[in-house]
Amino acid sequence: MNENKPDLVIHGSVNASGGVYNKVDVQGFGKIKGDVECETLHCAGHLSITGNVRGASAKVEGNASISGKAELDTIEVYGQLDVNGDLAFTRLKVDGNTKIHGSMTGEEVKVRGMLKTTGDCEAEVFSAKGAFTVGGLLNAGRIEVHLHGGCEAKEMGGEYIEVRKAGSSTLNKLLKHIFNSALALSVDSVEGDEIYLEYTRAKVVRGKNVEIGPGCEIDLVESSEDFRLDPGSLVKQHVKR
Amino acid sequence: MDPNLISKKELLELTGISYGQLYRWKRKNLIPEDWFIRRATFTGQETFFPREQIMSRIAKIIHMKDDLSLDELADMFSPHLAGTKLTYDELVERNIVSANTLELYTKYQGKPEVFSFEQVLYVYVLNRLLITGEMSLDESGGLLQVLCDHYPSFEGKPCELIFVRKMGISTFVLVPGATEVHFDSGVKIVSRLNLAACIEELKAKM
Repeated sequence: MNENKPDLVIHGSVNASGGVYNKVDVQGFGKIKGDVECETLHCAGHLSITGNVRGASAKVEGNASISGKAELDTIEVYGQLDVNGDLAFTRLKVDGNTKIHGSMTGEEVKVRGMLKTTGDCEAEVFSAKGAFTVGGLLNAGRIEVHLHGGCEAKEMGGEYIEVRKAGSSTLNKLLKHIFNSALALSVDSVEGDEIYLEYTRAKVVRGKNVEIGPGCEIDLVESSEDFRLDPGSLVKQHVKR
Repeated sequence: MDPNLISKKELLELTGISYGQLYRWKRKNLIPEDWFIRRATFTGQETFFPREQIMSRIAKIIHMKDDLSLDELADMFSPHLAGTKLTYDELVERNIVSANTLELYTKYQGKPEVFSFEQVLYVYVLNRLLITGEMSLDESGGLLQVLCDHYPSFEGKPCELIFVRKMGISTFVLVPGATEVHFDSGVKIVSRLNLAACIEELKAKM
């Protein structure tokens, strides 16, 4: 590692310029103008970056916004992160709130808070125990969703897709009363090899083995091998091909 | 429906691959994003692909996936130029281009120490047009000039080389991929080359 890279530590209110740093640590209120390259980025306060960001790891406990695109190896969000461009990562963990105006690509996504992206989302593993909105295609080798809030995607595709209602804990019942919204996933099309769906509204579901659990409303199911349907669900048309 | 397009459903039936495989290959960038063409049909929205391109790509993937990892395959299909550098002798030895073509290239562009992948590509395109007999020796200067001056500005985005003649005057045009170009009736389109496809062939040869 390069010893010459300085740390950028922000306490209080600071305007800084971009550059190559070892550690960027924001406790107060920071504004960085220009592209940032760093080993670690930690934000416990308020940070806005006008430019692109590249780094090995980022932890956002406060509020961070990036006006360009971001490339970070591991990202943990406990507060709020806004990226106004594409996001590339290896591991992304969202316990807080993350909004991306663009597409996101990575290996592993874990959502326990709220994730919103206007473009596509690509990952090998996508597991969500929170709420998400994907404006384009959610494409992952393994998609596991436990519905804790309203989830939305335009399209979903992958090898293994599983959508289940979250366990009926007291908290969930409470949440349901407060938000008065059914815990459900709404999606235009779901395509995959192995598909299990609960509480999903979809226009088309296509796959090899398709099992429709309770609470679904689906216009058309196409399956090439196995098809099972829970009596508590409505499938308007089923085609075997 | 456009006969040059194939629907996703038909594609899976013809090739025998599954949705999972298709999405996985898309994730690994084996199938470029701009081949996914979304069209509204009476059953809602459907995805279509350019028929010939996707069929040949999938045949290649199925054929080679046992020998190469998906990442290696992605490298091969990627229109981004590889970092390989070759010397004059290596190019001739490996039979990538003929010695005559290389001679011609050095006449116009000088002889570099080593050829970057981009330069190899230019020689390869030159070689190809000469071998097919579509282009004369005198015209190669124009070809090399348009490639050297303008190809780098595409930054690896797909593009096409169009070679036209009108009343014996030849012109070379570089246009971004999948653009429609129209000429007046006096123009004869001699050749259209998809440079992304050339890169793919070239990478396979190297």
